[in-house]
Amino acid sequence: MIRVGIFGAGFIAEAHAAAYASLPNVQLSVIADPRLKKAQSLAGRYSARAVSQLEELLTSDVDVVSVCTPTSTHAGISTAAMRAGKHVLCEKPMARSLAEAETMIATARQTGVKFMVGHVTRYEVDHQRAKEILDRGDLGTLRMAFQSITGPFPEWSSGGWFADAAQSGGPVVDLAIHSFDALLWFFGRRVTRVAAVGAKRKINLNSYAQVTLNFEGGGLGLVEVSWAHPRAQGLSVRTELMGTQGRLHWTYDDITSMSVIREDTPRRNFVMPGENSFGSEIAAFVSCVECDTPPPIAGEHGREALRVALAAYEALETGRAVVLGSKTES
Amino acid sequence: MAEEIVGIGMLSYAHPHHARSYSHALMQVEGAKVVAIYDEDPQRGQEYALRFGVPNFDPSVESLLARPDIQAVVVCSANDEHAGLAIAAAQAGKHVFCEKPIATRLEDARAMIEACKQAGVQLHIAFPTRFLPMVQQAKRMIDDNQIGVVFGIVGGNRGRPPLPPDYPAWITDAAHSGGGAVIDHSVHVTDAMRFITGGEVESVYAETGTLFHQELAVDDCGLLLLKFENGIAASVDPSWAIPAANPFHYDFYLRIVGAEGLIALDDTQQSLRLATDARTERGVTWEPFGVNPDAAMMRHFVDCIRSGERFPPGATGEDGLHALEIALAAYESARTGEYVQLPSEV
Repeated sequence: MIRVGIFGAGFIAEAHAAAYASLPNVQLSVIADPRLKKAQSLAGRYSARAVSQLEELLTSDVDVVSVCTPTSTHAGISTAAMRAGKHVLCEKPMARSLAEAETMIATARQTGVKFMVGHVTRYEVDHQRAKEILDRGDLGTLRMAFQSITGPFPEWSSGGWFADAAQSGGPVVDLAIHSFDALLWFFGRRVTRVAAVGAKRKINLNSYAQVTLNFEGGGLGLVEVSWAHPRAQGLSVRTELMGTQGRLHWTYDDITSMSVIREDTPRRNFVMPGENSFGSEIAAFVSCVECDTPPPIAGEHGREALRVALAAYEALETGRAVVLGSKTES
Repeated sequence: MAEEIVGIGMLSYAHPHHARSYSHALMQVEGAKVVAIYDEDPQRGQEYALRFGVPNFDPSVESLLARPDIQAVVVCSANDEHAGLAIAAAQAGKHVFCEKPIATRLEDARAMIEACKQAGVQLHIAFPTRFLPMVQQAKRMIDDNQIGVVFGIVGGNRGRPPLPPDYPAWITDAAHSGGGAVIDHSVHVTDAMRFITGGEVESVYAETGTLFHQELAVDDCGLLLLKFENGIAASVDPSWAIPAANPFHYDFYLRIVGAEGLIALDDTQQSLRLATDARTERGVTWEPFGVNPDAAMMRHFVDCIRSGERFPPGATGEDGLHALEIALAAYESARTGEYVQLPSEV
């Protein structure tokens, strides 16, 4: 029986809790959040214990901790948990700075616990199928990749920390990092140069941006990210992969197998990939803990996606392209 | 003037696809007649004269331009020859319709604009997207503020690589074409963005590569990042990246987002999906049914000449110059790794 605790009882913790609760050999034991009421509310739904302090969580008998707090707190909480002997699944972005990311990677190495970064896009079935198609050679050599991930401003960040660039990095970090990780995963090669243009809408950060990526060995990527799209659109993801032998393309609208229209309500499309991705991601993490195998998304992967995201942020701030150094630089 | 037929001379079929399309379109335009063809390849020119029922083939540009029954010319030579032909035509008092890109160098484009202005003749550049109903509709809606202030555009015009034998060799020879995919395709998209939003680009960043057909000596793919003076952040994909098996060979799309809405345009969607056993290759094709903008573009050229004045939506020489400037800035950016500010000093 694997015992699990979650630190941070906000929006994404619900997805983690539901995923852990669905696994037969896992017990969701502790929900911790300085806002005790929030912890109690989530804990109550899963017969877990609610606590308000990190210390209480780390001295409990949980084996695994999910870190579901605002980005700038990920490093401190994750490293404390690792030093307390807990395996850690940390939400994306893994940290707000590369230095913090390096500390997390080093701590995982020193303590020997399993440390995984929650780049859940890799567990969405449409992305998994795309990776299979790439791996079996149907596109030849991947040469261009696009992902557009757009939506309205997300209202669920507690205290609105999303709107504070110092905490969230804006959508080019918080949201686009899904795409940066996906493109790194598809290409299997490093990004060598990042450039970006953006627009500030409604809030004082670039809530809309387009980012180009230059991949080592010859490859180009474009990511469009937005927290400024019409609310009526909802979250929309569009992906295209162009290789020397083929092209793969899908949008959320394309892949809805179920669509519902009722009087006086807009059409509701059911995009199935989103339904089980957290379940698959968390099952994979639990499995690597149980079987003592390397985590499928290691700290190093999280760091590379973060490196690209922070370069995009810098390119927006400076109006200049950012050249990324060798892998050994931090 | 308004009652007379506009006599047209074709100057070169070096870009056969476009020249044929214009010849065909002009046959449908009442009030216009293709009177003569000049082609640096006499055999090719004479074959097209026969095919399109053109009564005269001229072995020299000069003899065609001397014809009193020609009021206008259509230039479809290799890109680096646009300027010479257009300037000669202007100096002979003929209106000019010129394929894109306007030229391969900014100074040539400026010389063309100046020559036409001095001669009092019109200069039209081939940007057919202005004649797509969806583009005109989008422009009307944005002019009418229906999606609020525009702040982002993703645009693209991708295609099959224009390789011999289907396409002439000069298209992939930078000395004659001015470059590869970026100069070939980005101009359509940047012109459409300028047309729809009325904005001007102030900064260009680009990545380019020869990644799909590595034997080519020109770029076959690229990505442009543009910043407009009015704050719009845009990108352009001009790549020759469409595989042969793809259900369409070219696309043109714009996804435009504003403060109060978004407009998505995609010309490949005006098509029927066909799966047939009647051909040897298996696959699904998208059979387009959208109106061919070349017909509207040729009709507009003729109408402007008949009326004696320019009116929208056709692209002017200045529009061609702006699109070229952006493409050349993209090449400079790809070379230097810097964002290039416009207007340039060249």
